[in-house]
Amino acid sequence: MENDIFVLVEHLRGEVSEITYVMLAAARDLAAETDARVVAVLLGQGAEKLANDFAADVVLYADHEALKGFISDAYLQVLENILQDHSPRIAIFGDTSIGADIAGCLSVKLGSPLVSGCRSFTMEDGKPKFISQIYGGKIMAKGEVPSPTCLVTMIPGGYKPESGKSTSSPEINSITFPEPTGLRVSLNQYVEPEITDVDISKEPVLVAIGRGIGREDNIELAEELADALGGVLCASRPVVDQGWLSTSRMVGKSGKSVKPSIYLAMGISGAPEHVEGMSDSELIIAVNTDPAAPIFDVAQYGAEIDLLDLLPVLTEKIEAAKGG
Amino acid sequence: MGRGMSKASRLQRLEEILLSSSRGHTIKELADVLEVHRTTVWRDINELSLQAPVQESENRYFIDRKEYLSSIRLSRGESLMLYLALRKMIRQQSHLPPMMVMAMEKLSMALRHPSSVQLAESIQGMKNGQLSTVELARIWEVLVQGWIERITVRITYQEIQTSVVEEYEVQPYQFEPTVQGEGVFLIGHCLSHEALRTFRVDRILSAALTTKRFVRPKDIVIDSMLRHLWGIWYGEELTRVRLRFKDPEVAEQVRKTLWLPSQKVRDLEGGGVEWSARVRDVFELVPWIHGWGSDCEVIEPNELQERMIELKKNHGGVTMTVIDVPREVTFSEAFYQSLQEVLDGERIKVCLQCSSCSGICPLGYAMEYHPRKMISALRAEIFDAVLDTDSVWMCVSCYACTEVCPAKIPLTDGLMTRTKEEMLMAGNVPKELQDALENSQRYGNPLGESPRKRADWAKGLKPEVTIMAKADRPVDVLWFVGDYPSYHPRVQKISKAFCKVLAALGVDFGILGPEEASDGDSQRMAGENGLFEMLAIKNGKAFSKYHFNEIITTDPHAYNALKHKYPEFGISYPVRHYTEFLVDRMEDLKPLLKKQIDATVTFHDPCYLGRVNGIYEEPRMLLQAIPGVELVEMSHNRENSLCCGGGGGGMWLDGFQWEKTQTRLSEWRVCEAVEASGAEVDVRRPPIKEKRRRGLQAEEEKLPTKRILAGACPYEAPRFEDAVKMVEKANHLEVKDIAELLAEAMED
Amino acid sequence: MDIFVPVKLVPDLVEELEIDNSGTSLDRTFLRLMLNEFDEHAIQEAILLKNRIGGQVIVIAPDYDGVDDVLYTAVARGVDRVIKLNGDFEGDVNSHALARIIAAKLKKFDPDLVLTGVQAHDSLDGPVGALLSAELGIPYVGYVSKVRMSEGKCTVSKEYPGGLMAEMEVVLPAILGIQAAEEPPGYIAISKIRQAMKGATIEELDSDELNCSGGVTPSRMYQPEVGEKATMIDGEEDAIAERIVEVLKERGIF
Repeated sequence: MENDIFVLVEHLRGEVSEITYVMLAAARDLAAETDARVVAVLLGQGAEKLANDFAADVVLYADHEALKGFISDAYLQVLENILQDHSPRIAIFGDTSIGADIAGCLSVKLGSPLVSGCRSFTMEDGKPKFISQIYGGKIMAKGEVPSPTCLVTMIPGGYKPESGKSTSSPEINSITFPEPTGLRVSLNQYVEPEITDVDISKEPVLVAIGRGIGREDNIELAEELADALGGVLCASRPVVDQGWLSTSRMVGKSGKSVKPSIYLAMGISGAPEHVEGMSDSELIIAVNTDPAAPIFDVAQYGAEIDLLDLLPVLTEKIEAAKGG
Repeated sequence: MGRGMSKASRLQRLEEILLSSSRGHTIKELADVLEVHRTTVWRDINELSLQAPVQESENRYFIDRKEYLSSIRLSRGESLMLYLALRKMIRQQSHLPPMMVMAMEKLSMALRHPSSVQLAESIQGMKNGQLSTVELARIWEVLVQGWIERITVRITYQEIQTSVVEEYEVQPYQFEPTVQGEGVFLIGHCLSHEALRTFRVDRILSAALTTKRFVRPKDIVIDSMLRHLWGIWYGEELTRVRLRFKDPEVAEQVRKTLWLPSQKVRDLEGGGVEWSARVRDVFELVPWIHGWGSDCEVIEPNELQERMIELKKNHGGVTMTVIDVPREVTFSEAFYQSLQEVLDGERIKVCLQCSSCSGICPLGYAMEYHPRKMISALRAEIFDAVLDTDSVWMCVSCYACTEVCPAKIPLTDGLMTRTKEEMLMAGNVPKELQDALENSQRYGNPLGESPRKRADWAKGLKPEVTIMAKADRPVDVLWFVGDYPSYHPRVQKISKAFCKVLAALGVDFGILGPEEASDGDSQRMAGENGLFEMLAIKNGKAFSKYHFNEIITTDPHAYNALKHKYPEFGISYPVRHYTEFLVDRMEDLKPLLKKQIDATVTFHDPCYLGRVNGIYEEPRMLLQAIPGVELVEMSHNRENSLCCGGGGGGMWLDGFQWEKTQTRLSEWRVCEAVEASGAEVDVRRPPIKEKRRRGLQAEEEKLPTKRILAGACPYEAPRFEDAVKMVEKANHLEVKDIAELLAEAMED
Repeated sequence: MDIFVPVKLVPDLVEELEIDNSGTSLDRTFLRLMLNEFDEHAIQEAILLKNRIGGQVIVIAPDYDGVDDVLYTAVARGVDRVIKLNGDFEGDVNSHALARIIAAKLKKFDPDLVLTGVQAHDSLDGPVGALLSAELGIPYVGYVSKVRMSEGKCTVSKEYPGGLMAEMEVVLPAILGIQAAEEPPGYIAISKIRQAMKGATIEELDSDELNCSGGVTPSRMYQPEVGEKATMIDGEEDAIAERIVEVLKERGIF
């Protein structure tokens, strides 16, 4: 239907990625104001169960062997078909390794405009508007979502994923579609990241270090704090790039997304790529010598002090508090 | 003795006293003699007993001479000789037996020199990254015990020519280091061969004591064996070797030096010499001959001649025959040529290989190819090997080597900078440095800050700082501010202080602000000549737009570039460093310095102000003009000042250099500053927890006067303040630029 | 094997970005342009590929202000041909427009392999690579960090979040969106760039008129409003540490 809002479900190896729920939440939000349907589009093989907690009105499910993993060629063929048949008002994809691979191609094939980097939608004068983030988050761009059909790639941060989940399962329609043929892309295998001792995304207390740590030999100080707190060390990209901590400890867009109870950001400036990975933390305390550091926009508490001065004192007081 | 004596020297003295009398001394007696408290003596004895067999009987303490083997008393000069000898050995070793390191540490303590102790510690640190020395230590202990107590040892040994592992029983007679290369040899009677044999200790895979004892025969003539030995491979016959050195300068050197006791040197027509000797195995001479490059020709024997030809062929160099075969120029040769084109560059031909450069280089020990070895490789036409390592990035262009070279070779400007240039061209650059250079290219400063913000530090200052583009009028003095003074928060404070001083003196000055680009000198010394030229021309264009009588700068690197290098591009103005400028105005300045600053101040001579440009006294005169200041000198000062580690790209190689050496030059310097100001310095790396309680510690210590390390270069304040955090007992040391102290001494 | 690398220049984020008077686009007065970081990696990966298997690397760029320096630097890195597309690129040129003019040129070259940066921070309508793939009718795989060639196809490592990688095979001709080159681009000395300037020529081609349809025009551009800022804790390290311990206690960490 012309008013529908479509969401392409992203899933890898049997797990639905969080961005899917963010997109569903966005779609739900818009749909409430436009009286539209939220349609989740799920491509896969034997993957219907994944849709059980989607906050969608209906799920269009295409089942085929070629759709088992994410193959851009196969997804493109099937989606082109679906979108041509349904002509939704908005089709939302993730601005990710999955969504960004195909949204552009579809834009050209269907002749529909594409908006990327979208963080949220809003209604103004009865028309849907997009709010996108560009220039590394330094500039926001707002504009009308073109009609009749517009493709959008979304980034996280504007909606809580919980709002995209539902306790009741949506209606699932298995659709027919022409079989994908002449595939030029295939998947050989997945390669796991290096095995480490700890999965930071499962830790409730994280001590995160950034450029402010200065030198490798200062990391010991942060480790002691982490030990005192019963938490684990993680880092922003610059620290990992130096080789001081392994990539499995990296938090951010190219690393892990974490949602601990406590996130202590030490010497981290708060660039969007990092914030993307930790902004959902329950309690964020940031320490940075620069009072204008963007991390203070996302933290609940902050202190303008050199982390090297604070760390040993903080460790001591925490040990005292625990022992006493 | 007494107060002011460092703990190290006190322990030394204590040891001497405890050795001197077998009756021993009570704690009280020792406390009186050493002029310290009893509890201090108690602690010292505990510490000493870790190193020496201190014994106690009826509350009297002594060391039994018989138990304590090495009770040699050495004068400081003698200790220094041993220390130097050990250093030479350490440089040549790829494995460091713990005994060597311990001896080094003890000698360093005896010399009471913080930097040498740091060196020892650093070597210890380096050693930790090498092959397991536990087995090696064990082997040494067995050999030494066998040698002293005359017990036969059983060893498993890796033969060199067959690569087979054999077991031998040996009576150890003597140890001897090789003349060339990195070996130490065990010479002894081998029971299996029933003859005198030599074994390279690093090819001994295991050693164990047997139950047999031996008596060393008195008529063993080891010396004569050594005479014919040159390093040791197996050989029975003595072979005559004849070498020809044609170049008169080279010949002179050969004539004067004793390489082998049995050598004969014969003059040739035309100024050359022929050198001959009989040796046990000729192939051991190969590295030595190779080092001479084309200056040395093998005449006899044939096998040696062929081997040298083969080696040359593999490295693409000149053949050893007399006929000059036309061939392509090798990379090494081309590079050697290019070095000679630098000012005074031809002096590289007379390098004596004396190793003064490598010895004085503060990070020479951590370079696989230190300066002397670089020249040696150049002559051996294997310079590509130097470029395969990254050791040249340890160089901080401090000019110590150039200063000390007896042949006056322009090492820093010529050899090191050109080598860095080759590395750059090959793209072989550590990431930090790459970023700094790319930032300089793109933004005109290595910090990657926006050029438009270069004068932001001056916003809001009263009186207002004149920016040339806005002022549109001539000024008396153009102040070239520099990168770090413009952008780095710590150094911006110095810039502001300097403004205050200039204003108080009524100086009519202006700055270029956003039109100023990096002076480029450090980037030049890091090998990026093209970038330097680009920056110089940009600055030159800005200069030419305005009228001023002279340029002053607070940055010795900018001073160096503006004075000596910019004129090569036709950009020539009178330039002074701010200390020269202010001393000129001392009559006006002195009366303004009304506030007393009670402090012991030591001045760090910046490399590019002092050693490179000869300005030593002006900074000191300024400091002494401040009431209350007591000026003391560090042990390295003026010409032999120790670099802070920031030059030649060092500012952007910190992580790289730290990884290799586990130490920082700025920390050594801070240790010296602490010692110079009279405090006791403990240079062992303290446990991290104790390090950082800065404010608290200073209070606890309740020092009588302030201690200040003064500098006159923008790299120093941030580097030394970082170092102060890492050195225990340096917590109370303040780091200030002279401009800051002057501003402080002026009334508001 | 000819490897084509279309690149673009984007605003350098070191300078403050300002919105112009209309409120709908960037004020370009003090804007400094630099090569898109991901395109730089694409060039690097192309050169690494060429060094292994032979062939040529051809870089194509629209005529932005300062593009000549970028192209000469590319030559200094080892690129064989550099092509500049003439036209007016002063205003906002979106990805759809760029993809069209590049596709028009590439069709004439009939490329086997095209590498380009996986994204650019100034784009509001998606990355050029994906659009290019539809224009040319060849497959696209993005977020690639390693490329290996074999007969008629290439094997790539595609990055997913959390360090997971997928090894994919793509039949040639194909377009790859490069996330990071296998080895980071090394340093290029100024003298090398100078040398390139002397030795190399930048080829010029005329491009068609820009067709921006498919993109969107924002009605408003602004700097993000700062949400609630953190409560700042004052004092020296002791005071700050004590307060933090209190906050943690309140959260029940002890």
